Amino acid sequence: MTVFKNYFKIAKSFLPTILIYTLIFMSITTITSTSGANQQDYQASRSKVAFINHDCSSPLLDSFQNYLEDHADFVKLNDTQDELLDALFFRKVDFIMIVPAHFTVDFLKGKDVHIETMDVPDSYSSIYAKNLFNEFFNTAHLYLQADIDEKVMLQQIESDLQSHVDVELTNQSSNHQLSQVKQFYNFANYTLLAIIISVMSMIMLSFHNENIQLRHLSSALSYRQINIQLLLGNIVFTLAIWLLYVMISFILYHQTMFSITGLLFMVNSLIFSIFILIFAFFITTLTNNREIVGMVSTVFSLGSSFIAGAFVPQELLSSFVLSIAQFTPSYWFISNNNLIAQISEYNLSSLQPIFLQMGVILAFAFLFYILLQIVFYLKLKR
Amino acid sequence: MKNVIEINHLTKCYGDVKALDDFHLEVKEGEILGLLGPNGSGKSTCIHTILSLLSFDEGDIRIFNQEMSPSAYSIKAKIGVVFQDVAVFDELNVVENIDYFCGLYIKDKKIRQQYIKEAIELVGLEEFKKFKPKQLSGGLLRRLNIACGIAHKPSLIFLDEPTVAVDPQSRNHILEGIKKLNEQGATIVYTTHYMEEVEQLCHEIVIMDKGRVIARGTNDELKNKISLGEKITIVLNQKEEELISLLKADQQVISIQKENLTLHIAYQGKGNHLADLIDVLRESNIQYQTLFSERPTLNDVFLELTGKQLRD
Repeated sequence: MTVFKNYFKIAKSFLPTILIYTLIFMSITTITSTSGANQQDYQASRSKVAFINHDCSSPLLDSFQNYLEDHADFVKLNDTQDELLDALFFRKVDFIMIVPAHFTVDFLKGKDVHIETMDVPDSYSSIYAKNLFNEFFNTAHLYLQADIDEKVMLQQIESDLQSHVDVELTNQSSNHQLSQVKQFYNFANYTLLAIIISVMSMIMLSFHNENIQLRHLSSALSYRQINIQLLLGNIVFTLAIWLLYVMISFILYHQTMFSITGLLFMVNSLIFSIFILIFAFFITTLTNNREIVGMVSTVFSLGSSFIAGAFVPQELLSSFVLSIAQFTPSYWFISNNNLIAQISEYNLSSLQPIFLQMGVILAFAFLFYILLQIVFYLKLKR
Repeated sequence: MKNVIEINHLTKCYGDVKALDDFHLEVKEGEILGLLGPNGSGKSTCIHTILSLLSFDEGDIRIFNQEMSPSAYSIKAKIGVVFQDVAVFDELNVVENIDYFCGLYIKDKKIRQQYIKEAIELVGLEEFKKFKPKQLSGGLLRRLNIACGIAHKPSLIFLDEPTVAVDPQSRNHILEGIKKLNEQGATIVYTTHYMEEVEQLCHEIVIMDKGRVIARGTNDELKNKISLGEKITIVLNQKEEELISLLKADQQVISIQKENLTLHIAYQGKGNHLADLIDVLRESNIQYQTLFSERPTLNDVFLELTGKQLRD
C-alpha cells in the first residue's frame, strides 16, 4: 500500500487548506445560527421608499401616502435620473414611485394609467414596498369599478387595509434548529465541493506529474495496482471530509441530527460527496495543468453554489437562474435539503421526491463516471 | 561476461521520422556503458523504448535474458532509472521521497530504511534529509533525483543525462556516486552529450547519431578508429612562412589552421609528433611562445565520423 500511504502523506500538506475552509465554514454557520436564535415574536419590517409626485395634491394620493407612512419610511430625493439610480445602487432607498401629471383625474376616470416604479432587484424590502403599493391601488381599482364616490372609496380602502393578521411563532426552537441544519448542509455544498475538488485534484496532479508517471511505469508495481491504490485514497479522503462535516453537524445540532431527518441530511450529503469524488477524478484525468484545475475547482464550487442556492435561499433566486442551476448537482442537493427540512411525516409519498432527487445526483455521478472512462480510454490509446 | 541487455534491429518511428533506426546494443554485466550523442540523436528514446515506456515498430529487446514488455515486472524490479527531468514530489521531504520510490520495489520497512540511509550517503544529502525539493539547489535536486532512482539497489541502472545543468561540485559528487554503484556490482547505462563524463566514467562507449549506432568501443578504441593521431598548437613570435612550408611537406600532417600567430596542426597516426616538431623548430631556429599537444577527443571522433560537432 505504498501509493495509498503516500497519498495521505501528500494530503497532510493540504491540512491548512482544509482547516481554513472548515474554520470559515464554522464561523459563518455559528454567526447565522446565533442570528435570530432568540427571536420570539414576529414584526413586519419597514421599507425605505421615495415618493415623487408630478401630479397635484389629491385626497387619493394623500390617502396613499398616509397608508405608506404606516408601513414604510419616506426618503426625500431630487427628481433627477442620476440621483434616483444612485439612491437605489447605494441602497438609500428600496422603492421609488413617480406619479405622472393628471394621474388622480385619469385614475378616477378609470383610464389605464401607471405610476412609474423603480426598485432594488431581488430585495426583500423592495418586494415588500411593491406589495404595499399594489395592495392600495388594486383595492382602489376594485372600489372604482363599483362606481363608489371618491370620499367613500378612500374610507373603505383605509378600513380594508387596516385589517391585519397576528403572527405567532409556534414550536420555534425545533423549527429554528431544523432551519439551521438545512442552512448548514446547504452551505456545506460549497465547502465540500471546494475542499474535495481542490485538495483531491492537487494530490492527483502530483501523482499525474509526467516524470513521476515515468517512474511509476518503470517500477515493479503495476499501473493497475497504482491506480487502485489512488482510487482507494480518493475514496477514503472524500469519506473523511464528509465525516468531518457530519461530525460538526452532530456537535452543533445533535437534537436534530439524532433523528430520521438528520439521517436523511447525512445520506443526501454522502451521495453528493460521491458525485464530487467522481467529478474531481474526472477533472484531473482531463488535464495535468494546475492552473486549469484550480480555475475549474473555484468556478464550479463557487458558481454552482451561488446559482443553486447555497448562499441565497432558492426561493429568492429567479426562475431563470434556477432553471440553469438544475444542470448542476448542487441544485438537487440543496433542493433535497430544503425538502428534508420541510418533511413532517415519514411515509413513501413524502420520501419519494427526496429519493428521486438523490437519484438525480447519482445520475450526475454516473454521467461523469462514463465521461471519465471515455477520457481514460482515449488517453490510454494515445 | 554475459549480456544484461541485448537489442536487435530496433526501429522506432514518429510518423516519417526514424528516432531509432535498426539499432543494436549489447550491454555486458558489470560495465558502465556510455551512450554518447548530440541532442536529438535518439538516446532518451532508446532508454524509454528499452524500459517499455514507448512502443516500437520492429526489433526485439531482451533484459536479463528475458523479453522486455510493459508487464515484465520481474525485470523491472531489478532496474533503476534516473530520468533526465527531476521526478520527485514537491510535498515530501528528501527522506520521504526516497522512501516512497524505494517502496515501489522494497516492501520490508527495515531493509528500506537501511537502503534510504545508504542512498542518502551515496549522493551526499545527509545534511538535507528534512528539506523539501523546493528548498534544494539545482545540483542537490539532481542528487535527490538519483537517490530516488537507485535507492532500491538495482542491478541495472539507466541514467539519462543526470548531470544536465548541474554545478561542478554536484557533478563530481554524482559521477563519484555512479562509480561507487558500479563497484558495488551494478551495470550502468549512462547517456549524455558531455564527452568528458563519458571519457572519465565509461568502460565502453556507443556513439549515436540519427537513431543509429555509428561507433562502439573503449575510449582508446574509438580514438584509434579515426585518422587523427595528435593535435599540436603552437604560438609563434612572428610569422614564419618557412615553418608552414616545412609542415606542408610532412606526410603525417593532415591539416594546418592559422589564427594570427597561432598554428593548429593535425597529425595522423601514432608517433611522437611533438618531439619531431621541436626538432624542426630548433633546426630552423624558429622562436615560439607556447607549444602544446593534445590527444584526439571523442568530439574529434564524432566530427570525423559524422562531419558534425557533438554539441551542434
